[in-house]
Amino acid sequence: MGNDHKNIRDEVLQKIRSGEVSMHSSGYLALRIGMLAFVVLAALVISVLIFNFISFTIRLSDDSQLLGFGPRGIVFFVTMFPWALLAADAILLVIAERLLRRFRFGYKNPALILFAGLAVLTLALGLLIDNATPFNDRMLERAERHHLGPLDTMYARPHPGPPEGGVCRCVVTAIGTSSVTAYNADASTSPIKIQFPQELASATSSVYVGETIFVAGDRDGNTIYAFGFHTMPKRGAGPENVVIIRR
Amino acid sequence: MSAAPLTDEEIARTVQEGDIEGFGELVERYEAKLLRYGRKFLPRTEDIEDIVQDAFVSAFQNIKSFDTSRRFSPWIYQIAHNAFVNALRKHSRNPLTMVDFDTFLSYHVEEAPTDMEREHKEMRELIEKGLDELSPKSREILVLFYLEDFSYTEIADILQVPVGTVGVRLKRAREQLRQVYEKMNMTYGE
Repeated sequence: MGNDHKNIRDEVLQKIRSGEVSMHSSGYLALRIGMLAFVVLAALVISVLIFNFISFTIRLSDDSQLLGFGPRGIVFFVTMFPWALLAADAILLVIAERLLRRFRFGYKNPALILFAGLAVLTLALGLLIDNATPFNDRMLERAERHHLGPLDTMYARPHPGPPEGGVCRCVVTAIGTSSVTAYNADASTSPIKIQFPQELASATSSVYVGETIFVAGDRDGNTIYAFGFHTMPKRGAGPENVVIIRR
Repeated sequence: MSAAPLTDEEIARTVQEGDIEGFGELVERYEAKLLRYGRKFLPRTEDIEDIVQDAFVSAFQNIKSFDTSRRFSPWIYQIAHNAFVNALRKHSRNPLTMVDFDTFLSYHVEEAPTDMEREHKEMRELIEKGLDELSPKSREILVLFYLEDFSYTEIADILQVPVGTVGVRLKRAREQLRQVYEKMNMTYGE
């Protein structure tokens, strides 16, 4: 033990004296902490922006209206939710949480509480940016002018949904007794027939040609067998007429 | 009248100002302790002396980040702990064993009162006899609490975990240790 003791001490001092090992300056240490803090902050800012974008896509596509269409609407909403973005956000939050644990206040708190705190903070800020600031509107304008580079497509068509899917924001072109003909307002596709079940054939009387409607149903070719629809208000107002068809 | 020896923190301050010999004094004070900590924590295959030496080198490089208003020992143990964990990670085949699931939640913790001195002494003897049957996590917490006499808060700083996790880990490790020795006694008795 005595020899080990002497060797380690001497070897460490030898390395220091020879210049092989030197003391980091206060500036270097501060820079290292600053870099760490910067990476944490960057991860959180990106996370806030992703939450904001998720909120924006749901708002713009009116997918949240699906939640008012009963259980099937909820299933559609869950299916169409941008899970990949949410997963990316969760990964960023995990990274931020792991990095924060290098600081004293970080490791003093249980990991789940720290993670939940970060998630609530970024979610709240994301929603705030989307709902209380013109940030996304300006981004959309810039995307339409192709000023956002790789984000152009993302912002210009934030949530197109599957063209063959049963959810459509459609502009009515003709009205029948129990169906309407419309085209997809978000994509140039061939005309779509929206068929309402017999018990709600009168729903067609509440729409007019040129009106935009939001429809959810089962798609078969160019026909959507609707189980829920509502007429679209002008931007900024709430839904005017929500109809759920329970089968 | 001889002057009282400098405290670790006072020496660390002189090292921060460039006193290399002072660092030699700190190495002398902590070398045996860190070697013992390493020998109890790591498998015998590890080259503990090299790891402890690296820990001292890292301590010297980062000595300016040490806050001299705090105790020096948890700081140097934290550096050694990180070096030991890195050594364990190098050879671990199962990365999940290094995930601290017990840091996820908040636990209520009551530090063991000092009047349990007898139990403390008994545990120390059991630990000295050997901890090979226990996981590194359990070995480490027992060593820090019973052999190195750190408080829960200091151990929390060394391991960089919440204080509640220290309490839970210690309770679990004590139970594991008891089970190991109960098993051994039964075997010897048969």
